[in-house]
Amino acid sequence: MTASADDDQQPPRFNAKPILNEIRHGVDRLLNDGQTTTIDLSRLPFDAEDERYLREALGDGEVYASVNALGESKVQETGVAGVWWVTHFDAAGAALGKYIEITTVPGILKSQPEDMLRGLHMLNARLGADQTITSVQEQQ
Amino acid sequence: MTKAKTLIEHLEQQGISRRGFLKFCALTTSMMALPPSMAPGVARALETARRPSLIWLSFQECTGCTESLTRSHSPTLENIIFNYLSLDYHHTLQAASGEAAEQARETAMKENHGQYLVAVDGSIPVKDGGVYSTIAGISNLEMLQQTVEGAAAVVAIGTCAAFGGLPRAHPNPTGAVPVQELVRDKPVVNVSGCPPIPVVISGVLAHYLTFGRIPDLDDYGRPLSFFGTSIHDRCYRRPYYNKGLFAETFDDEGARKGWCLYKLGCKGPTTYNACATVKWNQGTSFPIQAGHGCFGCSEPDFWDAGGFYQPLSAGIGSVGGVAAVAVAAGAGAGIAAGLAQQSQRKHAQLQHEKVTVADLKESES
Repeated sequence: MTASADDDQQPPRFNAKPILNEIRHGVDRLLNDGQTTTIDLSRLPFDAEDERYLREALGDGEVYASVNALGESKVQETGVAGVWWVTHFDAAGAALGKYIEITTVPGILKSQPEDMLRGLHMLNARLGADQTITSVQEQQ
Repeated sequence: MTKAKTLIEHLEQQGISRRGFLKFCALTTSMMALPPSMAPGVARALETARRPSLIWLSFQECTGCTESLTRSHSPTLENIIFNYLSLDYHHTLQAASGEAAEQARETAMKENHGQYLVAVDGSIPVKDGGVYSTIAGISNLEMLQQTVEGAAAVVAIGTCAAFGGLPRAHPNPTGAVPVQELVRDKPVVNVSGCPPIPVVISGVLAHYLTFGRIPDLDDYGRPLSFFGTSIHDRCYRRPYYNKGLFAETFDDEGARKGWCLYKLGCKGPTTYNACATVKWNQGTSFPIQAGHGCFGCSEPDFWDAGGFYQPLSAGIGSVGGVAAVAVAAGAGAGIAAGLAQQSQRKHAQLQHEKVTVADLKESES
């Protein structure tokens, strides 16, 4: 296909394509070395057209999650397994950060030991402070 | 409830989970313009970060810098950082006034000697003993000298504090100078912009909170992470510039198609700031995206650097011929124009003439 004069007046999606390549390399690293990658999209000159190009290229995957911690966070796996859109919002619903994470499970979805310990204390108190159950953290 | 000593205790007292803290750390890392891979390191540092005292001094300024910060687009983050910092003096925001306000400043200085941060917005008039701006009968010059003496570092917020800004514009009737010309024995960070981007202000404070030191700076004393690349290099219209597609007026076909605004006076090629990526108003847009060229408000002496609507290549001379040559030269033109602008700035300052209402009417006709 040859470029028309009109095509010549359109800007190339000059950031979407390099990011797509970065994602390609990231998936390869995750598969072969288990190394995760995070791309911070808010630090790039990335307009709505770039994002649309990227979303179309990656497609939608099987997992969608919403996290309620310090405002909402939306986590969505793309059609390329292991590649996730992670968007953080504040309490008023304004987007604070948009990332592409290349990992098996984004960190924001994992339960944290500190929160688990707080939950354990809550259950201990509810069940009459059964101190036979103590956490590894407390033993240390 | 006891006062939190570390940031993690502060967040726990507010009922924020560890997961929320990690989200905060990811966003703070982004706010500091650091790579996302540094987020775990930021989390470790913030776990033990101590609560610093901040004294905010407002001198010859318009309060636009404080407006920028208080209307910031990520209030959750800014709230956490500013609630965690002990903002002990800010005469626009604090409830106390008069002697009680000045007492708060003196107490904070005494209790945190050698450890507190000083933020300054506005330039400092030094002509005639600094009589042109005083607070509680104390000249800005004297208040700065008093307050900085026991400070760990100083953050000059806005172009007035960083470079003198509008008060310093020719003929500079009050003898306005920036902070860095008066403070030589403390680290000074310049967060320029008229106003500065709120997330850049927060990012610098977060950096100090996280690492206990000021960030790496450029030749003008600005944090490299935000001022390391030009608006032009990060502009989404850059591909049009590279192709030589320019808007010639604000309502021609090129303007409607979003072509490059270089010929309409955009100062993006010589301006270093984060507007093109961080943007303004909840990340909605920035001047170039709204169809107007960059003023270059984060650069020294931008007010006296020639006309806002003249191409960089034209300086303050005639608009037509030089611009046409520069545009034809393509991508290299911006660099050449930037160099030319440096020498033209001095010329502009020397040749600056007052404009009257009659002049404006004449130019309209």
